[in-house]
Formats: sequence, structure tokens, C-alpha cells
Amino acid sequence: MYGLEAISYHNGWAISIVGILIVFTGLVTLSMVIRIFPKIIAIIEENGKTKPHQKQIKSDNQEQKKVVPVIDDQNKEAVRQYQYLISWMGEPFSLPRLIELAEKRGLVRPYSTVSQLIQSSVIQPDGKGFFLWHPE
Amino acid sequence: MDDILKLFADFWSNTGFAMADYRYIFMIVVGLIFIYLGIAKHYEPLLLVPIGFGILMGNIPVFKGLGLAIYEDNSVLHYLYFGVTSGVYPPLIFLGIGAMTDFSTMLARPTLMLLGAAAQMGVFITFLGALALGFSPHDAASIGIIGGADGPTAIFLSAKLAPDLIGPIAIAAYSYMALVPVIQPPIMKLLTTREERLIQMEEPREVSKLEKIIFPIVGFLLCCFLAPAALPLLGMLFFGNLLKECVVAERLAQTARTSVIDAVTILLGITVGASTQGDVFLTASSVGIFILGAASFAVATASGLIFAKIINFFSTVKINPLLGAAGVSAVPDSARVVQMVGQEEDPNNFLLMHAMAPNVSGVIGSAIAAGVLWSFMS
Repeated sequence: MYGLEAISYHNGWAISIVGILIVFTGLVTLSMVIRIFPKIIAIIEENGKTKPHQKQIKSDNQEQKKVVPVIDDQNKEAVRQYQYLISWMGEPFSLPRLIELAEKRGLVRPYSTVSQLIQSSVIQPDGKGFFLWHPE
Repeated sequence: MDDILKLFADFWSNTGFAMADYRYIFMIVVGLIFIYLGIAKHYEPLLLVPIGFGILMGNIPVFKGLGLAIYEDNSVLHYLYFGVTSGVYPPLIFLGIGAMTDFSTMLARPTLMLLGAAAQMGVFITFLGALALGFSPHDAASIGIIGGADGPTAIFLSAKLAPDLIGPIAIAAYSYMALVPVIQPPIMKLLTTREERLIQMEEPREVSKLEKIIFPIVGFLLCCFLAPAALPLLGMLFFGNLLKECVVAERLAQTARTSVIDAVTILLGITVGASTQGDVFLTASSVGIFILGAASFAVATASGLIFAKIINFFSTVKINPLLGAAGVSAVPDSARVVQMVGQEEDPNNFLLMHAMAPNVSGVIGSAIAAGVLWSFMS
């Protein structure tokens, strides 16, 4: 049996329509659940609020961490090279673009270096999806 | 003297040279092409090199009865092939994929998941095409899943529904996955305008660690309650991802994404390649599977692209429709192709990160599609 007759005989139309609907239902539901993740997490964090004095200590520590960029001697050369690239690109800059330029110029391990620079707060997000060179 | 000549004659009749026929030679040439594409062209070398060498191994004509060929009971290759026919290898590969995959971009922009769902249209349209060409429903379902562009899923489903077709289906699925950079760009250019290809995507929001940890648990429960037959694949995928994201099990995640997936890929590649024994593989149905597989890939790519355009029609925030092509779950090749085609128009347009969202949701979508087809057929 061939052609449309075979499709109808084996219930092909129904299987295909129901099948694609199930796939869509699964992924649409999952995407809707993912969409509310941040709200759920905010609620969890709200409920698990630490006591005010603990919170103060925690935020002080975080503050301290933020203002002390960990730049060792090895990274100083990388800082200089990336500062040059960023001054050429202009600010705010896109991280993928910076990595691409670094790769083109043959800088060593651009992903890990950029990651270190972010951790050291030398490169900071501007809150709009782009990044800024640390003002200091 | 006669005895010596007789021994030589017997020896000659048992050599591969005497037993070879055109089918074995043809398949050896195919194996060599696979190895060439893998090594020289860098088309999925981790898959094509083992499969190509497996094809060479499977097409050495051997004396039947010695337990050498893959289809003979008690042969070493037969035991290794058990991992394919029983559906053991694909979930282990999914474990490794889960431990490698970063779902951040998908979590940051869940709308892009719909592109992964849309690309699964290729699976069901090809299923209809295979039925129309006279394949049985079980065979048609196994052929259709090639459009999911996911080798392990295709092997898993065909092991369950059409064990006789595992060889051609696996070879077709992996061949087309390797040829993604060749198959997809013309379709992408045909179905999009230059203006559409120039659309730049906004930087995704930052995704918290907690979101990344919650996702594999919620995703697993939701998808497997909806399509329980996808449990072996999605269970391992999400488990692997949880190992990666929870941080405390980093050693297990590291093993899953290196030793486990590498070992299984070697075994899977070599045995799937060896299963293409010329006299078993070269049939009219194999040719049909290859034609339908190519059609399936093309339809899946086109479905993703068209769906992205439909989203743009209704949405104020435009997405680059090229991302739709990444809905086929050839991770990360189809995402790389999106990046490549996008940068041909605008070298400053970086789509790779965004394309990973439909790409990884395509993996989930194709596993659900496989589960759905399996449950319908049983």
C-alpha cells in the first residue's frame, strides 16, 4: 500500500498531528515554567532572608570582595593588552566581540583571561548586556 | 604437490579477496569517504572517523561460521553491538551531553525553545512520507526521527521499533549531522531575506545558579510526565546536567562529559559502522532511508526558519529567523552554521550564543518526539 491511502490506513495523519502537538505542549509548558523561575527564586530568597545583622556582615564581605580586584603580576600584562583592545573598540563593549578580537590577535587563552578579568572586577557589566572597563 | 596446491586453493578461497563482491567494495569506499571527511574536512571527526573505520571492519568479507562478523552470534563485534540493539549506548551519550550542555541562553530566553519544537515538524512530515512510500509504521517512525538530527535518539528509537534498520538509519542520521554545514545554508538563505539575516539579538539576561540547578529537575519531571517513553533519554540528559550545575558532584560530571561519552562514542561509532555489512546494508530500503533522511533534515530546517518568521509576525521584539535552523538538534553544529550564515551578512552579528537556545531545546524536543512515536507504536 502506498501514498495517501497508506497514510490513512496506518492512521498517519492523526499520529503526526497529535505527535507534534505533544512536542509543542511539552516545550511550551517548559518555557512557561522557565519564565516564572526568577519569580519563584525571588520568593524563595525572600523567605530565606537572613537576620539583619548577618545580612549586614554578608553584604560588607561582598562589598569588600568587590573592591579588591585580584590582579597578579601575570595578569598585569593581560590587563594592559585588553585595555588597549577595549580602548580601540570603545565602551560599552560586547564580550563576544572582545573575545573574538583577542583570538584574532593571538592573545593567550582569551576565555579564561576575560573570565579572570570579570572576576577581578576589571571588566564589569553595565546592566544592559554590555560591559565596561573598570574606571580605576 | 597436489596437497600443497589444494591447501593454497583452500586458503585463497577463504581470503577476503576471493569472497569480496561489489557490495563490500562499495561500502569500503563509503568508509574511506567517511574517514576522509572526518580527517581532512573536519566534518564531525569524533563520529565519522570511528564510523568510517567501523564500515571498513564490517565489510571485510569473512568466512561465515567462525564468529567474526557483527551479525554472527558470539562474535566480539556482536557483543559490542548489543549496546546499540538494546538501546544502552544512546542514554549514556545523553548523560555526557547533559553534563556538557549549558542551558543558560535557553533559560534566559525561553521563547526560543519554540523553534526547537517547530523543527520537530520534520520528524512527523518524514514519518508521513515514509508511510506513503510503503514503509511499515514502525519503520516509518524510525526513519522520521532522522529529522530530529540527533544520532543517539535515532539509534534508540530504531533499536526499539525497527532493529533491522539500525544500520542505515544511524548512518543516514550521522552523515546528515556531519553535513549540516552543507545542507542547511542554502535552505537558510532561500527562506530568509538579507534584512532578516541582519537582525541583531539582544544580550540575554544573566541566569542565576539556582535557576540552572532547578531547571534539570523541573524539566525532567515535566517532560517525562508528559512523554514517559522519553524517560531513558531525557532522564540521563537532565541527570547529566544536574551533575554539572550542582557543582558538588563535579567529579561525576567530569567523568560523564569525558570518559563515559568518549568510550561510548567509540563503541557506538565502530559498531554502527560495522553494521553496514554490504550484503545486509545495500538494499532498496536503505536508499529510501537516505532520501527520506535528507528530506527530513531539509523540512526540519525549513520548519524552524518559517516558525521564527511567524513569531516575528506577531511579536514586537524581532528575532533573527536564522535561529530557527538551529532547532534541529545537531549540537552544536547547526548553531555554528547559524553563526556562520549570520556573519556572512554582518561580521559584527554574534548569533552563536542565541542559537544554542533552540539547539538544546531541539535535543529535548527530539527526545520527546521519539518517546511519543515509541508510545504510539507500542
